[in-house]
Amino acid sequence: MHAEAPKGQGNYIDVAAVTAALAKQTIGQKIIPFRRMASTNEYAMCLSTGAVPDGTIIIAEEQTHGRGRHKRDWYSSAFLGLWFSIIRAPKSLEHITLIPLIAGLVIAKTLEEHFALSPKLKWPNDVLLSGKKVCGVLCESRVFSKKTAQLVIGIGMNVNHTKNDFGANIKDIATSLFVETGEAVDRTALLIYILQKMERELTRFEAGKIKQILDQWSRRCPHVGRAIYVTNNGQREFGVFKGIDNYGRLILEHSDGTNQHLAAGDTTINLKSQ
Amino acid sequence: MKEDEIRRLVKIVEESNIGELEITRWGRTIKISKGISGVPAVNNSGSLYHAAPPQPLPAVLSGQSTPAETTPEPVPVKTASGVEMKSPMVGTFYLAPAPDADAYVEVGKVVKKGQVLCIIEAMKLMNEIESEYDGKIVEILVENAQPVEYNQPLFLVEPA
Repeated sequence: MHAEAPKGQGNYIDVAAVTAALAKQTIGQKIIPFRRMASTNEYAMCLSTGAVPDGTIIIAEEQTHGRGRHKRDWYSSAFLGLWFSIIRAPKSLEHITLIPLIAGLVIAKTLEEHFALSPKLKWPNDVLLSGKKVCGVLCESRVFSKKTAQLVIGIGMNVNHTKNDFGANIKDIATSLFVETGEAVDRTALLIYILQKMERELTRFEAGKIKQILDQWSRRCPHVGRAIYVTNNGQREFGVFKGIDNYGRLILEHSDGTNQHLAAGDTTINLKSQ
Repeated sequence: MKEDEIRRLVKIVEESNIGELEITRWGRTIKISKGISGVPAVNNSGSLYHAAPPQPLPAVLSGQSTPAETTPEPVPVKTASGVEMKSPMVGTFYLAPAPDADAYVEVGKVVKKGQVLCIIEAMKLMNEIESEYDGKIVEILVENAQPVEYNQPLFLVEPA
């Protein structure tokens, strides 16, 4: 059905238009574009501290070794998606672990406002459409001291992929904006929108509006309040997803009433408990 | 804790006028207490270590008052010196970049300021924690893949 390539494939993101649109904010003032590279996060993490201004974006039309958690590969084909990394010097480190959730929230709000879609968030930072992954976030940082760090917010978003563009191994779990809306998307306009929203959300975070952010995040996560299990390193923890703590950890309430705060794991609805 | 360290602690308990010493490190508790015979018994979280051979009961433990001129040896809480490097965030502590990779550091290793010591992962945010000092790793205070809290001590580093 979607065999025909969407309009826009083969076109580069208009970097000059992005920098012009973002002239008044920190994020996106400088953009380093690549036709193809291994991984924008890897490149960003290799840069020396202060080598580029705060808010610099590394963007690639294609990643040959896009990275996921624990260096798992992320499929990032040429001209179809948005593969970029934001370099950011965080104001403080204690709550830096909320950034992955904030990045997911930024993408979700973008999809709602820009496309009238209803994305769902999966803890900690996946963005789903129709139950499939449309965007992945991989944040990394180098921490120099208890107060200073260089943070890289990596975002990989499937935009103009047709169903056939996804390999057999991911076609059941991945989707794109084109698949969901049936329309080719202007990636330049989408990138501008995301980066503007990112600046606003990070400013709000740095102003200490954590509760507001957590409320907005939780409203978009269908697992909150449900019986779930969390799988981590092959082990399962069962309980009720009570919410998110101020560090972004999942609060799991066990049947004995005790709460566990988890910083890692994959959440699944526990159907046996419904 | 290594056997020679335990021996040293046993000796401290033997020679002091304290009846019991409990030290928690790496999440394991070692308890050394004087038995009825005066021989220290070591409980190392279930592992059996041979305590020092029985010694004659020191005079100070036989019910006599401690002579004023003898000062009990202070009981060290830490057997090593150094500065604590604390966790800048909550998360899971990893000593290697990937499950099959070599550890960044081990006890006794000399490190430079800016060298990566560990990763703390939280909410899929991977944080490479760099050394704040030139120095030597005296102790690793958290086991690999264990959760850590904000401000929890991670390493004991002896600055150069």
